Amino acid sequence: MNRRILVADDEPDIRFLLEAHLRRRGWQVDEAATGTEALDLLRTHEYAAAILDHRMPGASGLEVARESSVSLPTVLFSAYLDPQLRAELVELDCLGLDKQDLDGLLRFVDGLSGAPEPAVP
Amino acid sequence: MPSTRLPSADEAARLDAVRRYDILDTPPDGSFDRITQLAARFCQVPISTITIVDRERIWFKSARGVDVDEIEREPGLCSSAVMQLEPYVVTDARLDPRTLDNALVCGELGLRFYAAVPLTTRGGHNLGTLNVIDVEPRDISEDELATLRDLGDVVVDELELRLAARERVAAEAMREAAALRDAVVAGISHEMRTPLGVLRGIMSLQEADDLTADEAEELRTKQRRHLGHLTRLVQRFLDYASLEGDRRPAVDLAPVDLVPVVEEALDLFDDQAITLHVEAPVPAALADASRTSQIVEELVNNATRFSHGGPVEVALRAADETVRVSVADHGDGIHPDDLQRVFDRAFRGPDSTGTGLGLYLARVFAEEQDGHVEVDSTLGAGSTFTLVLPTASTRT
Repeated sequence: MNRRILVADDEPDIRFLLEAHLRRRGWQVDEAATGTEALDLLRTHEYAAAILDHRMPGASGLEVARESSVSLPTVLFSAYLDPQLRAELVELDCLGLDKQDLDGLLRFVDGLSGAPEPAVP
Repeated sequence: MPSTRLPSADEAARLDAVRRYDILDTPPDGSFDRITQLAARFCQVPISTITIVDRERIWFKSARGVDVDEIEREPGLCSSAVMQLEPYVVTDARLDPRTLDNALVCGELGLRFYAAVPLTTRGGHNLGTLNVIDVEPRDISEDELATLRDLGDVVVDELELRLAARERVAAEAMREAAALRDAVVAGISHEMRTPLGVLRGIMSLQEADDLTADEAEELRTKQRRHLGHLTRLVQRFLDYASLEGDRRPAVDLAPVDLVPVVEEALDLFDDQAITLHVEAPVPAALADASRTSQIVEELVNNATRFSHGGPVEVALRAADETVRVSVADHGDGIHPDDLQRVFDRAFRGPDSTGTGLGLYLARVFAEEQDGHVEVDSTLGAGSTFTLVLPTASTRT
């Protein structure tokens, strides 16, 4: 059962936060600080899901999503989801969530098939 | 002498129109001088003028054959001509009861013949007259009157055109200001999402009952940082709003030791990668401590944002009766073409997700303290922003 999730965001505190929340839910988190790092990790590791910021150095979240959404559940977690971006995400069958919607993100993670038992009761 | 005043409501509206066309006290203008030239030549008179009738005076936009800028508004002549729509003709002013007391008639000029057409705006208000004048009594033919009417229309067309152009420019300026305001609001509300999201995430983590002491401490640190960021954004927006319409900001100047001011500003960042080097002795600056703190915060914030976690060096030193705070990063640097514009309102770099306000406000507040901000940058290697403030002793 794959318990790894890729989190890509150029803001270290966001990565920290997501890692802390996901770890408590029994997931192992690989972090990427740029779109390029994210693509590298995607191509060399197996993940159960990808959580991507949009505006990052290197490749954008959307560019990474184009690759990742082909094979795994992907969510774009960003403050910049305009209608055009949302439309593209729909095309990719990829979820888009506003940066403030942490609850929505955790629901997405909890809904992943093979979601492990949370580490904390 | 019959009263030559219009009913006051009409006169008030007429005066409003005179203001709106913004013609009083403007400099001489070839476009109008050509008209009086044509009128004088066609009617074969020595004098022709274009007058604007103000509340208490008659002001000359163009005066051919006579040297005058303005005269008192007296009954008769222009004052009367401006109150009717038909041409106003006086063939011998010394004999005409409407005009025989007028200073222009009795005085040095010895005006005898006067024919005027009102300058009537599209809105139906008479701003003044185009007239032809002679010192000998004479008649005016139908042709001459018709030509005078046409020339008067040309004058009005000119005034209308200029007003329309001015109004277009003003409307454009308002549109730009509104667009800028919208962009600023949108930018700030976007920027607020991230710290708000982080704060929310942190608070929900803080509810976990298995937090280690280290994790709890780290969460508190991050909480402080993002709250600081939010506060900065709100402050920036308020500052911007208070500066709209080019109002000057209020600053409270006093001799200030900048060392603690800079240290406090850096405390907010809680970042190992930021170092401070003070080249003692640093004399007191004549400054507003809180605004200076804001400027330093902005420069450091900028540097950490664009250095992608790399080192940021802050230095404080004195030079030539100034105190200088420099903030150096080793990030992407700024393109030479953009260097001049980084401090402009709403300038945003190619990768920027910011509002473009921060550096602009830094510049405004620096200048308001009689200082300035400057930048030095190498594309690919990094930038150094410096705040320069006068020392307190320069002023005593």
